[in-house]
Amino acid sequence: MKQKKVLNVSAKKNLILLAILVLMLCFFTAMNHKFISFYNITNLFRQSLPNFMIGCAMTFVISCGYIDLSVGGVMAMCAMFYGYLCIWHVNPWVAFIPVFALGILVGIVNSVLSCNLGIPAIMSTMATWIITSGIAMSVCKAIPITSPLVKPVTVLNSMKIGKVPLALPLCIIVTLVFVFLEKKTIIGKYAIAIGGNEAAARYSGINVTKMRRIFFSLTGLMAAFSGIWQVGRLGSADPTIGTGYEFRVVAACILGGVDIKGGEGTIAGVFTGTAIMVVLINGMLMMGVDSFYQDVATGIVLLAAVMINSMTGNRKATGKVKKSSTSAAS
Amino acid sequence: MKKVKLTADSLQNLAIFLVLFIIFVIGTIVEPDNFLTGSNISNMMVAASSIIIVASAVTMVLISGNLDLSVGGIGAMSAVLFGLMTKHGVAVPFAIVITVLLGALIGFLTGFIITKFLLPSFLISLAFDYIARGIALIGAHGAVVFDLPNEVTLIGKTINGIPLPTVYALITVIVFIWIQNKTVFAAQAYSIGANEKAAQYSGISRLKVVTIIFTITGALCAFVGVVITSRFFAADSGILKSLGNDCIIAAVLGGTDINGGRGTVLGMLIGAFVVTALTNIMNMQGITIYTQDVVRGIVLILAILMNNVIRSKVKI
Repeated sequence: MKQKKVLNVSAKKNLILLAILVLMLCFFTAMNHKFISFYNITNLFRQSLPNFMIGCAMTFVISCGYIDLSVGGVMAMCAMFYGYLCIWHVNPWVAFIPVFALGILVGIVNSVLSCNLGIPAIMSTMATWIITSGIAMSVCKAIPITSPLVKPVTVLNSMKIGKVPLALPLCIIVTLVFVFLEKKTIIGKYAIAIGGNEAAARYSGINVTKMRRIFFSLTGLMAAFSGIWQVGRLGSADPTIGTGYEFRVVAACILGGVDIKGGEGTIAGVFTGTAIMVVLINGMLMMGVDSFYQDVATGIVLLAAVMINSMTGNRKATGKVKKSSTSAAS
Repeated sequence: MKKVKLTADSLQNLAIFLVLFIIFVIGTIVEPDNFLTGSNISNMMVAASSIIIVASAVTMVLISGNLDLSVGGIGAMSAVLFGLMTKHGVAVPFAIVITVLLGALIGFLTGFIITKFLLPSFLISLAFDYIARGIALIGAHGAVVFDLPNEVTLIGKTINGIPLPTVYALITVIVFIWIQNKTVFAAQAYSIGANEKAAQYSGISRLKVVTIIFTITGALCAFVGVVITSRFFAADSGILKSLGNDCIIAAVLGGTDINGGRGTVLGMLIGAFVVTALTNIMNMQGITIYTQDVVRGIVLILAILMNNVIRSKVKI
């Protein structure tokens, strides 16, 4: 009974989100008829694969009551690490493995800091954000690695299956894997359970620390892959590629109906939220807005979107949240 | 109960004082000729003053259980707007007032959106950081505004060996210590940070208190932007990149609880000196700003861990 009600709320929210998305698509198509073209839509996925991938993993982290602000820094650090591995003549495909390991390592460090040492996640991941982006910038003294040895990985960006670029199927596969993790394995259920009521989750035998370690590691892994993906897109390892991602990913999650205090959130919602954001950014690019103005406009529109979302969400959810929290307490 | 709380806080202040002392010793050892000279100390005072002015307000933000990441952006935006206004003939005092009011407006919007729409403070302030920094970049075309009128330098001048920014910092700290110890407003901020629900039930308006705190923070950031423009005699859109982190580190080093409900402006003052001295030593050693960020992150973690250890040893 209760389950059904919650589903209804999130379904309603998703519908509102979809409506916003359609409106935005119409608007940008009206502004530039090339917007809805096959080329631009597939290009959009190429640009925004990191948003989708990190967003999926972030859903678990936020819905278990924590947050990871370090993703942008991890992306940059992993990209630089990948660039250096290539320069050191490591096979560009073998180099994926140590880079993934580095991403997971940062995730584990995050979980140790926030679960074992008791630092609030927002602070510990902010610290790792500062540290990782600092490392990325200082190892190369802020100069991108443009060596031809880095180039083989650009195949990821240019590869096509039939007429479709690799990014689109990759995005769908990753999202489906995460939906599978959410619906069919304990991971998704435990994330919601831990975020909803940590003490209750602990008493019912869930290893909270271990689960959070998995969530953080997943986010680190996704950030590491995103870093490599960006290297492939740009053809160079640039230490600034992760700038702004922490904001975009978390904003997309909140847009997609993830409760920042934990206990609520779906991959499907986050997918829609991310889609809204990337359409927004891409649409402004297509309108030819100057890049300085773009930052400001993105910030303002995202703020507006998050505010509207929270208004519509709160009106429906307040009663239900209270109900579910009292039922959880009893 | 009050007495016990006092001991925990004073132990914290003692510990952080010890850290400051150790950093000064290290500074004297690695840079025996330069560190403890009059000109360097005066430099450090000026550098510390912008941290102190903003961190006084940021401490209140943290005490109320929120996080403000927008300070650097607002500072840069104010610097550029102030530079453009004075360059185009607006009288300097008038320009200062407008800039500070604009900073206050952004702070107000941040606080209002956070409390009215129940959104996380870090996200909204981060959004405003990007927005304000973007406005700064637009205003200065991604570069620096030069050719300011000479009166601008008066704001941050050094008179009789005393830099004016230090005076401003001193005034700010005194005002905030007074607010913290003597006003109901501060008590409300503490109770919101310590237990939001309890505060709400006892009739404290989170909307009002938190919005006011963010507004003050915005105004002070704007003022710091103006002062720095005056010191540089140019409005740079890239300034104050690490101010937000420095302020949080200073506050946390001074014993402010990042979960809210605890912290003192006095502790923050010592924390700010620690941060400044550390940055100063790293600058002298020729460590790049990027590596400095790595150290900042590590110091932040260590500071929080130190707080946790002290808290667990000294029960409330």
